[in-house]
Amino acid sequence: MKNKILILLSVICTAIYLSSCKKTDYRVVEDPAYIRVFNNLTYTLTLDNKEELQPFFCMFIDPEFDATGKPSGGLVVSDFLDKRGIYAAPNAAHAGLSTSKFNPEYPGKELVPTAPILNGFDLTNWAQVKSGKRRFLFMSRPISNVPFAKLPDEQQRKVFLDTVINLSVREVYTLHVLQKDFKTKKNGLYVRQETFHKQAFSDTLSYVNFYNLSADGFMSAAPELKLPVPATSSMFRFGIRDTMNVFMTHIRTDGVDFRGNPKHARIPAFSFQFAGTVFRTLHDPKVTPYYGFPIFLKSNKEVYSDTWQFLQFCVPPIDPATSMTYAEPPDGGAGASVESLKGRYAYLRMDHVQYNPNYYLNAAFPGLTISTHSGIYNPRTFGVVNSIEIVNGNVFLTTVQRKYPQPIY
Amino acid sequence: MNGKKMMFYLFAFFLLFFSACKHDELQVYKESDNYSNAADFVKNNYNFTLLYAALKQVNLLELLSKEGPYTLFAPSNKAFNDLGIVRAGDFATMNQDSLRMMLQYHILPRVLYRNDVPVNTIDNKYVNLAGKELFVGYKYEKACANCNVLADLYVNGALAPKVTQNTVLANGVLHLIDKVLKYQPNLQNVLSGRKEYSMFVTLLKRTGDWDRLARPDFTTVFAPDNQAFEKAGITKQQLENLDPASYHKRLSRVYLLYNHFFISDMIIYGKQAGSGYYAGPFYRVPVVGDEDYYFAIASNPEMEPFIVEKRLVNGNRPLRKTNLQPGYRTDYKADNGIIHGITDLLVLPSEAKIN
Repeated sequence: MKNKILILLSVICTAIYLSSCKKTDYRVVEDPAYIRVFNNLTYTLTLDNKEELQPFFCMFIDPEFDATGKPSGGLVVSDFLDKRGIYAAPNAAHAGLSTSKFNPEYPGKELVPTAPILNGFDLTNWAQVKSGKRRFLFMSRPISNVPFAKLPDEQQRKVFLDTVINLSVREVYTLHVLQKDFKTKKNGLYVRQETFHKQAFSDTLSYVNFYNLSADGFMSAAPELKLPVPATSSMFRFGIRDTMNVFMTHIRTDGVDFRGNPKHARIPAFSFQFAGTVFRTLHDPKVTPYYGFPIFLKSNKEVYSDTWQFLQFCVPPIDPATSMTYAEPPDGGAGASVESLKGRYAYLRMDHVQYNPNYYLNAAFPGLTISTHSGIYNPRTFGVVNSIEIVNGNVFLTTVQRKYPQPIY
Repeated sequence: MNGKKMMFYLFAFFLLFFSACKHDELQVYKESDNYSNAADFVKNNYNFTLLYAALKQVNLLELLSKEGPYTLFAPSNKAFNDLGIVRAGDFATMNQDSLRMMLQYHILPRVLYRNDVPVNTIDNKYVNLAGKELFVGYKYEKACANCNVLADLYVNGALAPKVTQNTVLANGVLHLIDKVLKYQPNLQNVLSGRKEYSMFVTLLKRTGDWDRLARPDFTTVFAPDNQAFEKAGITKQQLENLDPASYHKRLSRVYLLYNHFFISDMIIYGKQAGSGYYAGPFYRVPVVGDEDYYFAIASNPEMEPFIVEKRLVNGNRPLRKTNLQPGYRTDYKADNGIIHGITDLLVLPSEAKIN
């Protein structure tokens, strides 16, 4: 009898123990909107602009405040929001790779529910946030590894930007903290509702569109006020004009030279192709038209391409096909110093091979297609959807990819 | 000796071990956790005898022995000596109200350790007992793996070196600083109160720039002293008869920067992009009203202020350069700006004459 009671008790205990096991608590966002936040302010503080706040943020969505009026929490708290990198890769590039707390975008390294695959687009880099009217508060904070809540009190009270925006259900948004006026140093939040997942893109083409989000008065400001910004394209350092035509030239690698370096040559029939006009649309956050171009496979037996794209930005009267002033792609010469061009001409090299993220003032960006191991092919080249954003002296590339077959090893 | 006796002695010997283990009054070195308060610390430190005398003179010691908390930026004896104060009795002859205010100016009613200040920033403002803001900067640098860490605090341009920072007190913290903080309500008070700048004041009054120094807009003044004018062969008489209409603005404006910075701010932020001391200076800014000319501060250790003409082919070559006065004659803080003394003129009247 005693034994039976003991057995019974132990069974009950085991049952309680097992039932109290940890359960996974899925974080569900009701009626989500999908957002991605970039900090486009790349200035460093100098004696001339020392009254400005440090462009390094702790972002609060729907903030809550403590009794003394400093933000203590909210729907979303994203600390260490650093200036964005020049390339926002299509994959979850920040997941588990970096030991730095500094986050080049939101969600970036934050472990939050990310957006699903929407109409074939992999939106890993977009975070889910409750839709509706949301208050965004960006607190300026010193550049350090100390979490916002542990900073000295007076450093938790520097409001950089405080605004309310309306997010619709299951829409995709890209948010930019931007300088709105170069002279008054006024900053603002630029909210763009993306449409790429609603457009009928062809699987066999790659796409790119262009934005000029430079501040009012940046182009016309004196060149010495435009400080060099690390890791960006020097051709754009002094800005470009408000209306620029874009021409795309496709470059193929063509054997090697006597040193063994690859030779590059433009594809004559796909040179100087008009790829649209970029207007300065800082105050008009609309998606600009996408320009599609084919992927030039190495041969009809391969699924890989090593061609790359040479983009020329010219003021409307200039046609790079007939102009003798500017060097012919893939050569980058502009025939004059960047400053003396006064924003009439600039170029970008879009090539994964030449791109070096560590190079100061580079003009080589990642290519506008991606090559990756997919299925039995390694590598296989895919068309993607790109956005090139020109912000004051900087150029940023954002790439979004579609869903591809898993690699088979 | 038989075995039994042997055993007995062995046993007795082992007993000694036990008595040797007895440590009723064991004293290991114990660090004192009784910190002295600010008043006692200053009193007992031979490097602060003059500060102690000054605090005693205006009865601030009592305040500094209270609970606080306080942060005391404590000028060393050397800092007082630089101002010509060498013995304790010197304080008795001073205006007691201004002395009291100046000492309160060095005390914050809070604890501020070095690590409370963000690294490599300037203009972190903390209100002191005098009700004015102190501007604290923090320079942190570890140039290489084997290099010493540079971790200097600067308060209103005065250096608080790493080794004498963060002295823990029972009622706060103390940082030694290498110069006495100087404060006047506005820039006109500073310049007219110091007779070595009388000729500069005359120049500013002639050119009409004097009024700005009473306005709340920030101005940082690089003020040449009377010797600088004498070196250039300019007399007070000439300055009084000077016709401002026949000179370019840079004659006086080169010394007036419409900004607010201490000399140490340039050390914290470092030099600008460019090569060499003059092409990559600490700071360069167009002269207001004469924008083809630039005032700049070379990135050499002496931090030479100089003037360049932008239109020249070699636009970074100094037309004329000078030197800063020693540290105790720079960083005069006022509500509307800062004054730094310099030793030579940057523009001679003959160079600024309109042809």
